[in-house]
Amino acid sequence: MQKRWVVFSTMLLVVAMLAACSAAAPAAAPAAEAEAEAAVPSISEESKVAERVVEINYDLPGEGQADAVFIVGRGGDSVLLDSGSVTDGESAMVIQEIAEPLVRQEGISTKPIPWLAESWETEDSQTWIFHLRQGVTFHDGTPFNAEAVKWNIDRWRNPDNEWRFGRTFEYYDSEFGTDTAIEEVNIIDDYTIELVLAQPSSVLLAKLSLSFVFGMNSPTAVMEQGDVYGTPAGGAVGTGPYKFVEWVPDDRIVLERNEDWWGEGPYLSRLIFRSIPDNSARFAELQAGTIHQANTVAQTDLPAADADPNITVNILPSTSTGYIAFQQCIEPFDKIEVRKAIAHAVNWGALIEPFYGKYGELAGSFQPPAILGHNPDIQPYEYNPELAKELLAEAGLPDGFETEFWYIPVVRGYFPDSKAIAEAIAADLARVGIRVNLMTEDWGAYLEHRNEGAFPMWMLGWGSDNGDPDNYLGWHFGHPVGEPRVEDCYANDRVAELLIEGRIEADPAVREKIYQEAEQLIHDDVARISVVWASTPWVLRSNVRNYTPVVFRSWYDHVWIEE
Amino acid sequence: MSTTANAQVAALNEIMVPGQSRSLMSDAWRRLLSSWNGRVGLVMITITILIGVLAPVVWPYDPYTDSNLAESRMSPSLQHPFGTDRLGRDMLRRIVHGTRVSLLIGFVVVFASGAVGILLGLFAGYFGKAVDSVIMRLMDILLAFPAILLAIAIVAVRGPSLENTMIAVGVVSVPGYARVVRSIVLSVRERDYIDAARMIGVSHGRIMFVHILPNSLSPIIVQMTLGVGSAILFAAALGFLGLGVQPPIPEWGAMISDAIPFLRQSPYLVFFPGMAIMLTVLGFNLLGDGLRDALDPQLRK
Repeated sequence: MQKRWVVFSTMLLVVAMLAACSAAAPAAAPAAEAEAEAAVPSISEESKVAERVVEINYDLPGEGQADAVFIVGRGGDSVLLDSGSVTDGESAMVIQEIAEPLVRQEGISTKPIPWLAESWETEDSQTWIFHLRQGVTFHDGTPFNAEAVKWNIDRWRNPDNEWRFGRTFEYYDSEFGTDTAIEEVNIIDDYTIELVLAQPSSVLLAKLSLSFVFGMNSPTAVMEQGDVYGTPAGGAVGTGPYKFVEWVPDDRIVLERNEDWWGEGPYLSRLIFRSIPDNSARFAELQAGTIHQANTVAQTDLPAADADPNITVNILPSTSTGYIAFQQCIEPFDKIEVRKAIAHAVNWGALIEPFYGKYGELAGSFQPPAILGHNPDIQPYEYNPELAKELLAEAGLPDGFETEFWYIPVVRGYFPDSKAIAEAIAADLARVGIRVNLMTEDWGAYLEHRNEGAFPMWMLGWGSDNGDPDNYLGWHFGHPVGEPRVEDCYANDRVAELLIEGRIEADPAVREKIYQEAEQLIHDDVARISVVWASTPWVLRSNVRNYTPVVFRSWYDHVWIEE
Repeated sequence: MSTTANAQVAALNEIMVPGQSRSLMSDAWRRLLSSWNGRVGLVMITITILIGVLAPVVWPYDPYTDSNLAESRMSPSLQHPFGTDRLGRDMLRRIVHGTRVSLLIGFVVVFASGAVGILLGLFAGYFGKAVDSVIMRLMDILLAFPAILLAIAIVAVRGPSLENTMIAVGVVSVPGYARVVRSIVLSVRERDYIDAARMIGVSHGRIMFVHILPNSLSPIIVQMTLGVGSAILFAAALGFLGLGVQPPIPEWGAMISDAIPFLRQSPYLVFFPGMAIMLTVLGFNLLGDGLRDALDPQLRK
């Protein structure tokens, strides 16, 4: 008798444990990746032109309200606080409060504005002269001057630099590549510096405004700390509004106000980033008011967030796209009819309501409307299984075919429930005879194999880093003329030329035309299927003032809390 | 003391009195049916197996083309007694068809790992010495890894699929059978009739398979019955971790893990597959318990 109960209760325990484990399971560790969660630089829909200026009227805190402690709850810990050498969003959001770039984007627009550089001049977009802000010092007292800027730039661009400690500077490599690399850095005087590029680039300022990448570290601090710089044992030293205090791994990073900051503010005495991996636990803390901001709120909690008067949900126009891609050098995806058949076989529109609610829109062109060069003439593919079957027959595959379809193993704004979305797509494909085997693997391996072109068909997405189309269309379809891309084997000489032109052209109106033409060609080639333009909601306590809801540049220098 | 003696007399009478003798198996069957847990377990398992066998005949289902996003996550209703999942698929139907998958895993794993484990245990127990040491140390190595980690490692190397789930669960189950069988063989081989068989020159193989194995069956049957339940639970755990049977094939563990994000909004999505796992495993455990009681000579009345 006794044994029976042991067996029975053990079983209940196991079932209970199955249920309990689950809570922690979906909160996958944030991988260091370039596909970082929707990087949303906010641009309103009226204008797609990067030069637009948005006035923000910051209201100032009243007496005694400028000393609050602000706590951000987020899904994972930072990887490293060394600007330039990390690509993950969790590191980025802390870094940019500590280290500042030469140029920053204004408010919620993408307009580059003077920051540590007060002004700049260029005649040919190849040689740039920056005049630096005077009287700025790093948190450790090191003066900020042309010497320090040159030291930082040399560290990004030179793989043999002795202060890299084996770290890579991927963003510098991908943004500047070899064609627009910074060839020379010349100190003209203490507060004037000259950059010479390998070839003219109109987007230099947009690139440099990636503040978490091109923020200035204190040369003395890096050289003194050595390879512990940026780690919990070391910390980070910049010129920013907040100073590094402590980092308890997987728990919290504490910053405090830099009383000597050159700018206006900051109005918070401390800024704390807490790691709360469990989505529902993080949301519960926001509801309880123990944190002021919850990054990534599960879609299922959003209705509760909307209903809570103490919580504000900010939705920004989408700057991210979820897409389906194909390896176009292998059968049967080398045939455009097959790619088109897939585009027409799936009811893409039906995915939006159950999986995205109001945080997603059925995509037409690859770039969402808020990105320069979005082509409004491109409509989503019509759901037409009969047409899909005809196209398959035309391709010589009347009975369909079998292939692998890889889905992402993580939760992303553009694919919040990738497995279920993949299953829905697979079911639609099976109805026209295309049998896909759903596959996935560890996130790091997934991105690596994607880069190597190992997947026949896969899903992924992109969130803009800076709102520039070179970081969007250019990143995904740019390739040297006559040389196919590795990941998907896509090659179209005209697209290649256009994307190179777009990088050099300075006039936004001309650039818009260039990117729109490229969008059309890419659409005609069915190079990829754009599924959704997703928006990431930013969820905060309602008493937070002056918050600029943009993840990669969510400034806290103006933020204060109304008590 | 006297009760034991009485029991022995009674047992002797059963054998000695002509016309009243019963075989071990029919005797066990009678006692299984007379016990509460045996009866309940038997009924539960019979129903489960019937569902698993008849489902494709009575209620055919193609998981590959099943989706209806317009009916995503509907609460239980007359039309969908168990509700629908995120893709609008009928949960009752998926759970019913998931029965096949779970039973298949349970039985295949038990017969495969049972066969291997029994052979290893038989050899180890019968030959002893070096053979015993080598086999049992190998089993100890397998046991030294936490079972779920070992299974995850196997799946990680071979890739997640139905076959690999069965292989992983099977491999981690082998040592259990080997140890049980070895311990029985160690006692059975010392019996006088084994010595007698050896003396008249019966071969090792014949002694092992004809004389020892049949006399060791009772605990093995119990172990295997309980093993079906634990194999199903194990496969569900792998499925829950996303390492088991791959979508869209309906598997209970994977169904639970898919539903976890909606625990608060749609708890039925977790509840029904969870109940399916619990009832099936409970059925096998009750049956195994009943069999243990029925087959144990110590408990003969």
